[in-house]
Order: sequence, then structure tokens, then C-alpha cells
Amino acid sequence: MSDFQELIKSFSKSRNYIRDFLIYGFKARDDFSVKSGRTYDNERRRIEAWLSEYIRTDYGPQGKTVSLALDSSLLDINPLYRVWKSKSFTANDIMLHFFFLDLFRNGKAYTAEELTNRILDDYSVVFESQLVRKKANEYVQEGILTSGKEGRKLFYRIMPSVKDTIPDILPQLLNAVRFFQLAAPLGFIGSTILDNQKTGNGLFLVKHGYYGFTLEDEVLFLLLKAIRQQRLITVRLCSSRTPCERTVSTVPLKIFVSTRTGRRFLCGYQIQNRRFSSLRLDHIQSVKLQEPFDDYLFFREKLCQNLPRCYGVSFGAVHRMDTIRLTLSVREGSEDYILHRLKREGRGGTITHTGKNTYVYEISVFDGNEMMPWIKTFIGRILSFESNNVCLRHKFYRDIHTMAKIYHIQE
Amino acid sequence: MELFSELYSCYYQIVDSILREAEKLPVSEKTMREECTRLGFAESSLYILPKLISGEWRLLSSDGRLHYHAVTNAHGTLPLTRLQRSWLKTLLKDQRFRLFFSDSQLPVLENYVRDAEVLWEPDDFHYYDQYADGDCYTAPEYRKHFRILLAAIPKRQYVTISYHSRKGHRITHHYLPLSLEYSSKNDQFRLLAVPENERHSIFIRIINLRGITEVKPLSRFDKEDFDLVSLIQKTYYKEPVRLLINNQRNALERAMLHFANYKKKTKKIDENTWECLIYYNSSMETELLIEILSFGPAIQVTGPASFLAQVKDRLQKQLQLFAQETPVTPSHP
Repeated sequence: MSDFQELIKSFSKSRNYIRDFLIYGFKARDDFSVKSGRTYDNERRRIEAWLSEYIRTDYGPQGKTVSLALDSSLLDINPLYRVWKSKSFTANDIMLHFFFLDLFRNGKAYTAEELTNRILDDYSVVFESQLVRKKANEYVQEGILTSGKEGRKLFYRIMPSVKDTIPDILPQLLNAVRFFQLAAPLGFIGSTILDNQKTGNGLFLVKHGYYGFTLEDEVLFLLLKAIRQQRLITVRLCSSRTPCERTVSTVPLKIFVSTRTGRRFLCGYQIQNRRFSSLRLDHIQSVKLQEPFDDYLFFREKLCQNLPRCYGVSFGAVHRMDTIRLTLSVREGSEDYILHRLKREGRGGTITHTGKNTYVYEISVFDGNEMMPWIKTFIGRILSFESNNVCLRHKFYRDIHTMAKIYHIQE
Repeated sequence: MELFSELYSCYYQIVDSILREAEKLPVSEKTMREECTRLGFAESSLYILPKLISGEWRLLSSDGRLHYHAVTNAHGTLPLTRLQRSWLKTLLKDQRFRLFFSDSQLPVLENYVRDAEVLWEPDDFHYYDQYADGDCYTAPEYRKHFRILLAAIPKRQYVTISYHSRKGHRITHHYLPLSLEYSSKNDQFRLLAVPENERHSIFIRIINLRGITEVKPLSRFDKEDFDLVSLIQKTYYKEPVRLLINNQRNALERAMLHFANYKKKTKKIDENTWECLIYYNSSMETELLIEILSFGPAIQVTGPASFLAQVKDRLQKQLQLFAQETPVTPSHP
């Protein structure tokens, strides 16, 4: 066994390994060069233990590769939530946890000294009353116990269980949790409510579920706290493209989410270069909350004014809008679904009927480059692509001609 | 409030379950190991059992015959933590949350979470590529249909559903509702169901909830075992889509993220090329096709033949349109 443990103190180290297994799935031991081979072995073993049902091992020219095989459309609970259930603890932590649940079940209130004595009498375990008080205060912070003074004594009492408090609506609540643990931010918390009630899902599935997002939930949790408290933050960034760490100060304003890729971004106002910018959550290694930012609401309002011109997450590199004009061939009547696509996916662009079976979609955005993947989804019906950005025009036509070459299609 | 906390640890759940058993009757090591397997990680029993049996965690006492009693008598259920109540309070502002409750039930829940803090406001998130025509979750008829289906699924109760198909036809049929599927991209719910007279068919019907005009529960219930996941898996084509990814413009990472919701397999071919196999079924086919096209020349489809033919067909049509129209700037830099 050596000193291997399934449980960990901090999640940050494992996070990058899981992402590499999940997102890439083809990296061998030697590709994980940032840390030592032994660190890789330990992390791999731990992840294999956490997610054994979903681990797939292959052998290729570069050696053994480990990947996570998740088909999100078939899973009613995100298996990656399991990684959040791996926090280490001490013997005292687990004993006091169950002693508290046992002692408080009668609904009575106890002081820390009384609890200490009861633990000795009932379970023959000696604790210092200081330690018991510390744990009781922790549980007050977590909302499990309440405390109140009677005279000079501080009494602790347990909060009633959800089943005792709202029995009539608990079935409906659990159904809601079954759904939102898949669909809402920080869905891991919902899965812990299902654990608490010893139940699963069985009702809901998701299409377009990107389960890797949960790996950034600790970062997201802090960012949301900073947004609610309108604080400046410092984030430490590192990505596969720019592996050198850098630190950025920003005013966190909104979380941008792509429902097509699961990517999440922090959109903030960077004071240093006086502009809005978006940082990918999976590139953020740590978040530090700083002082409250006085002009927070002003910049949030500014951002909201800018959103209609922001096609994705980019605010553009230059102070010029990219205009896009896409002319499409759509057979009226039989291909109206293309018009529906333009309306529902076009993010505010205008659609004009310019002739028989011909429609023009136009939009003006900060960064037209972000539109290029979407525009290519209309391959097969594009009559023309025009833009004031010459690079985009060239890129579009070059891509189509390169594709024709790849697939050996005669032009 | 900590997200990563031992309070949610699976070890606590295992011990909770073992103690609950051992409070009623003495439990054997085998029973404890089974609980570890059921609720824990792959190696949990190797860590938990020695701690419980040796008395390092003094939660069990031995009866001297390799069976163990709990030292606790009847420990209570952990109340929901502040973090859990805060998450619920936050969701109260989500329109979809109200689908699950009647108007008279919501104040009860609001009262339960009154001391918790909200973790985020709905407009703290911006879903920038979500479709603009999501379901209307506040429509009374929609809420009614949703709740009838929600009640019928776990009871395996047949229902009569009238709905408008995508082609606009009105269809009425008896169905066994299996699951509600949500897409955040479409922002809509769909019902997965099988028609009563095709109960043993492998074809699952997918019905948009917004298209449903009426749902009536029937007094008939399905009694047979049903494995929805296996049924969906049976609909997958045997041959996956084969892609070659050329790592230009960071295409590899973009593709791996983009297709992360599919079951896939990736391997390196050479320094700059990866092969990716994506498993799919007919209901995913068109969507997958246009997703692949969105990558342009960075991704090349190499099979199966039917899928490749669709890509070529679209490109062929595109080139024909260019030839007819004389594009504005066909010149290459």
C-alpha cells in the first residue's frame, strides 16, 4: 500500500490530470512532463480508484494511455462529482461527526463540556472539551448546528433534518434536485443532497452535457462569491499553450458559458489595460479575493451594454467592429428550418429575404473570427460571405478550397 | 462554507451506512466490505475497514465473534448544510425550478431556506450561444404536462400524449414515458418514450415538450424490467465517425472540448495529427455533421462511407454555388 491514499487535502493537483484524461485521453506517462513520473503514477492510481467504472486503458506506440470514457447522454449523474467526495479527514473528525449526530438526535441542547462528558460516558472516548467546541463551532458555520447563549453558557443544538422540516414537499424538492444537479452551476452540491437522502436520479438525462466543467467548480465558487461581494480579485493563470504561470488582477463581472462546448469564462474588467476580457475557467489555477471595488456597478452596466456586440467571449483586438454579411440559398417552404436556425442561433443578426430562395444574414460584432465555425455549419448553401475584415474573407474562402482539396472534390 | 469538505465525502457515507446497519444488528466484515464496494471508491475498503475494526475510529465494538455493533444508538440524518440550502435558495430564482412545485408549495421552501445566502443571481451567467427559442417554463399548460410526466415516469405509468410533430402533424398515441431529457444548448425538454404497441421495439420516440398539447395518465402500468441506457446504446451505429484532426489553430484542444459530450477514442498518428473515433446514433447525425464542418479543414472525415458522402455532398453543393454566384472575393492570399 505504501503511503497511497484515495483521499486528498487539496484538489488542485488532481484537477489537471483528470482534465487531461477526460479531454484528451491519449497522453502517455511521458507526456505528463510537468511533474515526476511518480507523481503521475500516484495521480493515475487515485483517479482510477475514484472513477474505476469509466477508466479505459489502451496501449499504443507511445506506451500506456489512460482515458475516461463518458457518454454524457447516458449518465444521469455526473461521475466526476465523485472527485469532490474525496476530501481527507482525521479520526477525530469522523468520530465527532457521528457522535454529534447520535447525541443530538433527541433534540436537546448541550454545551461543549456536556458533549465532552456524554462522549466519554456513552462511547468511552476521551476528547478535550476545546476540541469538541472547535468542531461544534465548525458545524455552526456549516449550518448543521445552531448555537445560543443561556446565561453565560453557550449551548449547541442540531438543525432539524430536511425530512422533518418540509416532509410534504420533499418528493418535489428531490425531483428538482435530480434535474438541477445535472443542469445548474455547482451541480455537485445537488448530488450531495441526493446522497443525504440516499437516492439517485432515474428521471432526467441531458443532451449536450459537458461533465468536465465540474473540475472548475471550486474556482467558480470563489468567482461567484467575488461577484456577489463586488470585489477585485487576483487570479493565477496557466494553460497548455502558455504553460508559464501569470497573475492577473481583474474585476469579476459575469461568467460566460458556452452551451455547445461546456467552456466557461470569467468576464472581467482588467484595470491594468482598461478593457473587458475573458479568462477561461480551466486556465485559472487559483483565485484570491481582494478589496471591494468601488465602481463595480458602473462596469457591470457597461458590460451589459456591450453584450449585444459580443458574439462569443471576445471583445476584439482593435477598436473596429467586424461586419458580416452571409447570403444563403434556402428553398422557401421546404427548407424553412434553415431560417429557424438563423433566427435562434443568429444572436441578434438581421435576416432579409432578398430574392427567390435567397436570404441575407447580417451582423456587426467585436470579433468576427468567433463566428467562423458557425458560418461553416452552413456549407452547402452559402452564396457569398462578405466582411469589412479582409482577413476573415480570405480565411473563409481559403478554408472552403482547402476542404475541397482534402476531400478530392473537383472545383 | 466549503465546497470541498469531508461532510460530503464518500467515506462518511459508507460509515454512515455501516453504522445504521450495525445499530440494528451486528455486522460482519463481509457486509462492511460490500458497503464499501457499493458506495465507495475502488480501494476504499482497504482503508476504511482496518480503521473501523482496529478501533482507530472508535465507532464499532466487536462481539468477539467477528461481528461488530455500533457504539452509536440511532444516529440522526445530517441536516442539509448551509451550502446545500444556499444552492436551493439560489435555484428558487430559476424559472425551471418552479416546474416542480405548485404555487402554494414554494413559500414553504422559501421559508426553509430563509437564513441561507444566494450563491449567484441568474444574470451573473451569460449563456452566449444558447438558442433564442427555449421552452416557455411559465406557461400553465407546459407546467401541467411536465408534472404529469414527472409523476408517470417513476411509476412506469402509461400516458396518452397528443402532440405536434416537427412536420406539423398532430399525433395522439399511448406511450410509456421513460425519461425527460434536457438540452442547455436548445434550452428545452424532450420526452423519451416508447409507444405502448411497440413496447419491445428498440426505437425510442423523442417528443418535444413544447409540442405537446395534451397528456392524460392511463390506469395501466408497465411491469417488465426496462434498461433505458442499454436501449439507447442499441441505437448507436456500430461504426463510429472517424476523424483526422490536424492541430492547426489549436484545433486539437478545441475538438476535444467540443466533442467531450460524445463517447470517443483518440490516438496520436504523427507529430501533428490525431485520429478520433466518435460514437453516435441517427438522432445525433446531422448535428454531429455540422459540428464537424464548423472545424473546416482542421478536421477530415475518413469514414464511415455514408457519413463521408454527406460531407462531400455538402462541399460539392457549396462549390457549385460558388461557381454559379461568382463569389465576392474568391482570391487567396
